[in-house]
Amino acid sequence: MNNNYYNIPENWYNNFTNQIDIYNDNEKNLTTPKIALERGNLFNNLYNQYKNYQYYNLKATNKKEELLYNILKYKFAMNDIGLYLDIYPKDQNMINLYNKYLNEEKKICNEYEKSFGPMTLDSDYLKENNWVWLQSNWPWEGTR
Amino acid sequence: MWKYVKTLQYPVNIKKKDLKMAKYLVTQYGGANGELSAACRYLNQRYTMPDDKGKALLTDIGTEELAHIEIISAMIYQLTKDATLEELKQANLDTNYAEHGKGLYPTNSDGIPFSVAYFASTGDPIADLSEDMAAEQKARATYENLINLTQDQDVINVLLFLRQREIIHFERFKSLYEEYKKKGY
Repeated sequence: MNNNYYNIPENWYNNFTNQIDIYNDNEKNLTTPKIALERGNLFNNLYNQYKNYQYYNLKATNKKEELLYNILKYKFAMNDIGLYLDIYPKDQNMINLYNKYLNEEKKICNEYEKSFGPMTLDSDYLKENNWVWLQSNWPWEGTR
Repeated sequence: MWKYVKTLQYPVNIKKKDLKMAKYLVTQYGGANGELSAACRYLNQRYTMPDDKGKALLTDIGTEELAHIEIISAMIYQLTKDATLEELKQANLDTNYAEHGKGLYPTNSDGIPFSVAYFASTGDPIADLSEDMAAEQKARATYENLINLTQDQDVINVLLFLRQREIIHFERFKSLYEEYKKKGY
């Protein structure tokens, strides 16, 4: 595996993720992808806190986690928008937002796979002589 | 066709072994209100949904439930992986060990194996969506019971995430149910 972990500049992804994080919907009904992932819910009007339990602020402990959590937050937001669009397929704002997040997710996923190995079996980073699919941790083994 | 993505939907990093909690948690894998039951329920019912909205929603939520099976399984794996035989005995998991060793196996908290009798598929979209709404509420209640059974923040964080998903899924099923009622399906 081509591991260029140390060649990634610090906070490189901020250049293109900061501007897009907050979606200015008219009803102020959507939270950021980061908070959506942390609390398991993109929609403010559907969020339902259990007792006094606060959702956890996901903090990356290394570069790999930093990239992974950024992928997960966009994947999560897309998943939640997708379920909404299944019921309300004519909401153009939400379709646009889905496409924005999809673009962001692809960029970060590309960076992650370049350093830490393929996430899927149709990844561009499987086109190597070694069968690198085996070389990264399995999801159930944790992210650290 | 499904595509495997080599990550969990929400990260699981549990530091502390807790066999009792693993025994409780397994019910959200192989119990009546568990994630395996949910995935089977929606992925079977989707074929007889009357329009594309229903076919899409049951496919997509069913797929997400497969990802939740993996999250619950990861929690059980991490909570039990370093357990000794003595510890398994203390947690009353020796009876599970006799047949399964440390292998994962879908049962409820009492060790009763998963059953397809936990879900229905009637071919009637109104009946099926009513069941789906109830299933999401029962799973939410189960997650709350599980949260009440632990003090481990690493476990609680994941359970809070999964509980919130039940709330979203319920809302989406409810919207579809109301639309289908109006349309006279």
